[in-house]
Amino acid sequence: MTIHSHSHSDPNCQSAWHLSRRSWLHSLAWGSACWLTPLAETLGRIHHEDLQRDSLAARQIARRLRPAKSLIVIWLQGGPSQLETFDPHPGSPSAEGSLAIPTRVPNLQFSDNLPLLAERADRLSIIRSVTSEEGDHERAIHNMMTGYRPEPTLIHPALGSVICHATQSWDNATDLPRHVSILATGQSSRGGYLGPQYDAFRTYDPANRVPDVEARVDDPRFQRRLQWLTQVVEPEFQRGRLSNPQLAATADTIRQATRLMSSEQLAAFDVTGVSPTEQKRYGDTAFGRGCIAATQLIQAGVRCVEVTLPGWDSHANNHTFQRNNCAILDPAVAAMLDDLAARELLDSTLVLIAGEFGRTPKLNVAGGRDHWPHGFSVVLAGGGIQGGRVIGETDPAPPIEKTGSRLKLVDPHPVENLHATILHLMGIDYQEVIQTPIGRPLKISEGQIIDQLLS
Amino acid sequence: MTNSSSNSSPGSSSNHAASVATPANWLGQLAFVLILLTGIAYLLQQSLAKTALRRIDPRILTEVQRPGLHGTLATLDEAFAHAWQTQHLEPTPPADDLTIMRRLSLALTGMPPSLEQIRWSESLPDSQRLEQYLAHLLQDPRTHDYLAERLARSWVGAESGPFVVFRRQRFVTWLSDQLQQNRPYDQIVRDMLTARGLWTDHGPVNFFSAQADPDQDNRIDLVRVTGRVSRNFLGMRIDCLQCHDDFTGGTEFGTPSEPREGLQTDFHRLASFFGQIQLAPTGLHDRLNAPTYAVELLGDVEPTRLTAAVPYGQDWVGPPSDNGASAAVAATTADSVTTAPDSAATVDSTTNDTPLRQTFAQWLTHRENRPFARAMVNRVWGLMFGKPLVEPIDNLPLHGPFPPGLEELTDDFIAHDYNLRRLITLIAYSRPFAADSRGSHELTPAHQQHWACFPTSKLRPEQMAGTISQAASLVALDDSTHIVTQLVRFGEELDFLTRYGDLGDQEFEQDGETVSQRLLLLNGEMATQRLRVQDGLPFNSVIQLERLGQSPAQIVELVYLIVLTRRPTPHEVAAIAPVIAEERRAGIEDLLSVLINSSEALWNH
Repeated sequence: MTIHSHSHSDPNCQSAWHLSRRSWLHSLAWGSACWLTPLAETLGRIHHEDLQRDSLAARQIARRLRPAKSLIVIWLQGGPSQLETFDPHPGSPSAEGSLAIPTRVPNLQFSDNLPLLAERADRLSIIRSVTSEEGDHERAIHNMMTGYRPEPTLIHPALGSVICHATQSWDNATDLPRHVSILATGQSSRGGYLGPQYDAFRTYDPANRVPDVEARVDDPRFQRRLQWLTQVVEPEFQRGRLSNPQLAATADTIRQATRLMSSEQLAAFDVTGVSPTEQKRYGDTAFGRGCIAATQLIQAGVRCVEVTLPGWDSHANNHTFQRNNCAILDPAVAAMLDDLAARELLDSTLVLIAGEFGRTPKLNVAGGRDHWPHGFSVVLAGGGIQGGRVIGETDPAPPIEKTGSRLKLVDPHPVENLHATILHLMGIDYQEVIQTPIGRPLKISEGQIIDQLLS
Repeated sequence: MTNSSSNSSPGSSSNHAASVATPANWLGQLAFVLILLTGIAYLLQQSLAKTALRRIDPRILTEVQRPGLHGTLATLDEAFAHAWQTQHLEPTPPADDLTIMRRLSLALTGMPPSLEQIRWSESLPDSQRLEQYLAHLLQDPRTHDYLAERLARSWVGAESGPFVVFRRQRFVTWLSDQLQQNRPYDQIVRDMLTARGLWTDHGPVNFFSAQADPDQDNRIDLVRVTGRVSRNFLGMRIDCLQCHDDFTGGTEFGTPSEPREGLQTDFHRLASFFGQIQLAPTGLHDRLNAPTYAVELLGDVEPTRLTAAVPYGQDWVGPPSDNGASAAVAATTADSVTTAPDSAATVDSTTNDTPLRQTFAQWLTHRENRPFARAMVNRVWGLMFGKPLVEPIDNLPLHGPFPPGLEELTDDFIAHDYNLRRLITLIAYSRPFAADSRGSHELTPAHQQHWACFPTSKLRPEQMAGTISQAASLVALDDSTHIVTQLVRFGEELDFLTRYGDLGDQEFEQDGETVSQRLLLLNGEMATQRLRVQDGLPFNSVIQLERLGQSPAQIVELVYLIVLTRRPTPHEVAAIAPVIAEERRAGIEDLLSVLINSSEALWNH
């Protein structure tokens, strides 16, 4: 039986194209198999590149077809100096003696504190014109982590939490938390109004075991404790009482916690098996180990990992502070990018390097730089980002008494634009409106995509 | 020396050497005496502490006796009884005294009663037990410190803030002193709103300096100040008005007969009251000749000068006249361009010698300004129950309707000069506070909504830490506790809170639990090490319980009293006592750990 029996009556119809059901299924099977071949991948890439040349809307569609899967946030807590990292102005008054070196990208300079990342600048895109309205650490951290300024009536979720919330249906069940903070601090990513289930799982120096996953008593005693808790004490408390969602979730949380304690996937946190040579390549620091663990966790299927490097708040002796921190940052991130690329994870993993603000373009009397949210640098890599790009430009000698729009800042991007761009790269509709617990509808991000990063 | 010793026999030589007062000997003997004295001082302190537990200030005891509160309590309970009848809700019966003691202790000190306190209360006649325990708590310095910390979270935030000009602990200490003296609430707020001087020297100054913006030369952020003042002291969330007029019906001003929605100018006219504040290296001052507050209103391209005005109750603006009534300040537009057609009375900064914020403080604390009293009643109710009468805690309607209890308590609070101790006592004796959280009949969400049963709510992180600390000791951990123990406890609790996470000033949010938090409770340092036998902690509850010559069933009972402030059921004793009979130490450790991890210990109920 032919599918198109009426075709015989159509003089324009070419019978050679007519398909029987068997031949149609046969073609379909071959066609499907072809999509598994390198040829298909090439065709797909060409198709993707074609789309990239089209309008922004088309690019957005393309992005949704191949979104980044994972996010690594390198969180530089305290506020790194843009001038001693990714936006040096050698010879200018604002440099205050800081030097710059050429990078792998022509006409692009980094601080001489970052020689290894300079060699990999073709993988990095730098936004040198990020701005915010927050100059206080706690408020600025909230702003940078969530894309919203702090509000008295609503705690906004951090970027990783938003991503885990939006992509929860994409992930297979795993024992590992989907959102992890390594070298966690009190300001680590929180789920905010999305709920604590989206908080980052907090862990510390990977040289040590993941905190609290080892029972402090032998297994028979631990099992006895669990049995008393779940079968004796909890049922007695719930008898005759009105339950509520948080209370009812306790049993689930206990189950998840104990499952994690015995999970073999915990090995993804463990860096003790990594050779000393490899650890040295990452700088042999807690932060370096954090970057090793981040790579392992991403490979194991964790969606968002945050690694914190604190200590950038250089109100005194700025140059030494920044140099010392860069000496930790540079080898660790450079090695992590290399390893992500070697494991073919870099295309699907977006890496964000950011702190809560930058630092003033003038040294204070103590040789330090103070807080400066009026134009600072943030770096993106992987996840489909075109490397070697620089967006925005800061004034080499801005008057520090001036703020905001009065500064000479080329192509400024408020923090929320960064969030919108990252969410878009992750295939998330950042303009989707969420009903918050206080009844206020709110977009996931109020920002605009930084177009130059996608072109 | 050499000759004489050489002439002596070995035996006499050693005797002689022992009797010689070498520096080393002196030091050794001095150390021994010091240790001895420290031990004696510790024992004396412990015995005095126990005495103090029983010595209650008679004035406080008089204040908390029920007969003096009878009228208001009857009105209060009648209001709830009427609501339950209307809603066809059968209230749960009153909970037992131990349960109520636990609620009181958690609300006022952040930790449950100690075994020592439980035993003491059980030695009292039934009719006096709760009164005496409440009086004991109200004079306990832990209560002043804890309530000051809870209030400070809302008033100045939970964060360290702008370091150069803000000393949070100085503010908390000042507030604790006010609570210890039971200063009227309106006076406390007036002190804060009119404070001058250095933040390091004068605690209430930090109310304003907490809102300094380091990025703007530490200028006070008037929008943030206005938002905090409005939410905390008026119980109104008007933050949206800072950008635009209300178009959602979320704010309400005007009079009951002529209510109106909020305008953007309402917010900024309130902010204008704080426009004279200046934070300088010499401290917080008022610039009486400062230009009138200006703001760019929505749709405008130029700033508009707005004189200060209140959004309702214009008759209360201005200093009280001789007959006690307030005189309204005439509206003026001398230095302003008013764009909003509101009826607010404005206060001209250019013709008034009184700082504008002082005028505002007088209006705010005017006895007819019921939202001021109502907001605090709702907050204290929230502190006591873990859930306020009106949610969210800082957004009450100006003209009602109000839930049962709110107006009755507000009336009493104003009539008794904003006496916080009395307010706490009234709430503690109210029928809803006494209600059991479980019933023999089916409970529905309506029971909790209308306070026909005590609502269950998750403890705050510091209450959990307090519960764990207290579980490691049979006596109350208070200011009489040995300084070393206090320091250890402080360090452990700080670490616990850092790891567990802090809710900040969103302290009435009911969040669930994360896997990290559960692991911390199951296997964390504080939860496990404090509750096991180990070197360096010779007096923790495990060792003391182990050494008591009690039967396994009695041990189970003691552990339940220590952690859950209740006695175990027969089923629980039957399940646990046999293990303690076989492995006394391990059994006690395991039971302590289990109870610390239970919802019953981690929830208010």
